[in-house]
Amino acid sequence: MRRALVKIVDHRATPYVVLGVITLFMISPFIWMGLSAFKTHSETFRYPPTYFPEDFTLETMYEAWYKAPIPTYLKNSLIMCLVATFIIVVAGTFTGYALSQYRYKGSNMVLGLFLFTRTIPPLALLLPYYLVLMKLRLLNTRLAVILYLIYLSYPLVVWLLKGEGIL
Amino acid sequence: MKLRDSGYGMLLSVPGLTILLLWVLIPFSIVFIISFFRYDNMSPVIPTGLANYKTVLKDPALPLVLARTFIFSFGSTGLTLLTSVILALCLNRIVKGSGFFRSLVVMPWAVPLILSGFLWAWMFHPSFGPIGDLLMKCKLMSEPINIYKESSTAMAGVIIADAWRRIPFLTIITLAGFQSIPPNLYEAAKVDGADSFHTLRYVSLPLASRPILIGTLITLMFSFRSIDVIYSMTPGGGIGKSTYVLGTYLFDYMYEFLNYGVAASISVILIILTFGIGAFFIYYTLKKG
Repeated sequence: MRRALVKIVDHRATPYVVLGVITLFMISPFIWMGLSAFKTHSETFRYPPTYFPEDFTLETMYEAWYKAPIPTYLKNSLIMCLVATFIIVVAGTFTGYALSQYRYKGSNMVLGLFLFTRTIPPLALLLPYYLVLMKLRLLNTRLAVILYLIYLSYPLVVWLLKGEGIL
Repeated sequence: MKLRDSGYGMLLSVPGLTILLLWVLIPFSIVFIISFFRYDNMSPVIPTGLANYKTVLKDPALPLVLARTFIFSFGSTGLTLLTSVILALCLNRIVKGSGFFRSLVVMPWAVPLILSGFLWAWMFHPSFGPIGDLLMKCKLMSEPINIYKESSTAMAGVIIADAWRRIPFLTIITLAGFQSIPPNLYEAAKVDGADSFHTLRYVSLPLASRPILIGTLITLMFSFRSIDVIYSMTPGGGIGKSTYVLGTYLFDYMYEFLNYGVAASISVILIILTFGIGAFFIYYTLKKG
């Protein structure tokens, strides 16, 4: 029994078969998304579902780009992520450099503090962020999202720059 | 300035610590303070002591919510761990096409969690989703499966969507762990007459245990507190609140009932519970292997 199992596991093709099955699971939503992108509205929501688009159309792409409107959203995302990344990397470099090059009283505690920050659920701090941003009249602005992004990524960046990796 | 000057080091940490103070410690204190106030957006804000905590702890729904949170997070982490270890073992063994499979497997990492829920909600959709249709075409089901109809399948669907997004991270961590094992150990094991299962049990897993353990703790911690997938797949908690976890509970008190006092006390409870997992994570990370 065990010998037979070992033979199966050791076969040259086994990793490829297993990988093929799991990879299919991992990319199936992407395949479905890609195929549906070229279907018409009514075909997307048809029962039973069709797999390959019957009327190949770019109409939905056009709609997404101009009616959604995706260019505006892309601009928002770009502004928010670039500004947040710039602030995080500049500030994180100082801290990461200090923590990796100098040992001072409490430097280990500072490092532990950054790690501890990663364990705080972002969801739990949603309320104070909401209240503070409301008081500062910043709700519904890009700046609010930038401030929240800084909180989410800053400790991770410091930890990575310190050179410990994620582990 | 001398390179080993500790004062200079402390000075360099100031901007970072300022951000930490402003962005994390102050909100943290605010949520802690609010949890002791009556803040329900209807009556004046006054201190009420532990009344908010009593409301939460006496809520008959709380045990159910906690149970579902544990089922969700441990289910998702278990599925992620199992798939990741299998994937990493396979990726570690093959040479041809390794880059191809690795890049495909890592693809979900680029997807935001909330989108993962939407994608899988679509895949599982009883009428126009492909999964129900494929199962029917394979004659496994007589009619398209509706996972949202029963609580256990709804939970399973949410777990799959969550694990799908978390597998790439743990796979990469585990693979890095396996690849750092010197190959002569495998040769030594082979000389001693070990078969593949022995090598896995006594060489691969023990030597890669630290990255796997830390990766698993991170996954557990993140899925314990996540609501993204649940919110996009089963809005409001699904049938019979079967996917109603602690995060959704908090979200409802905040945005549906607008009861910030109780929401703050749930936040504090969530922080404490997550820290229970996080403490192990910090311990194993700071401990040198």
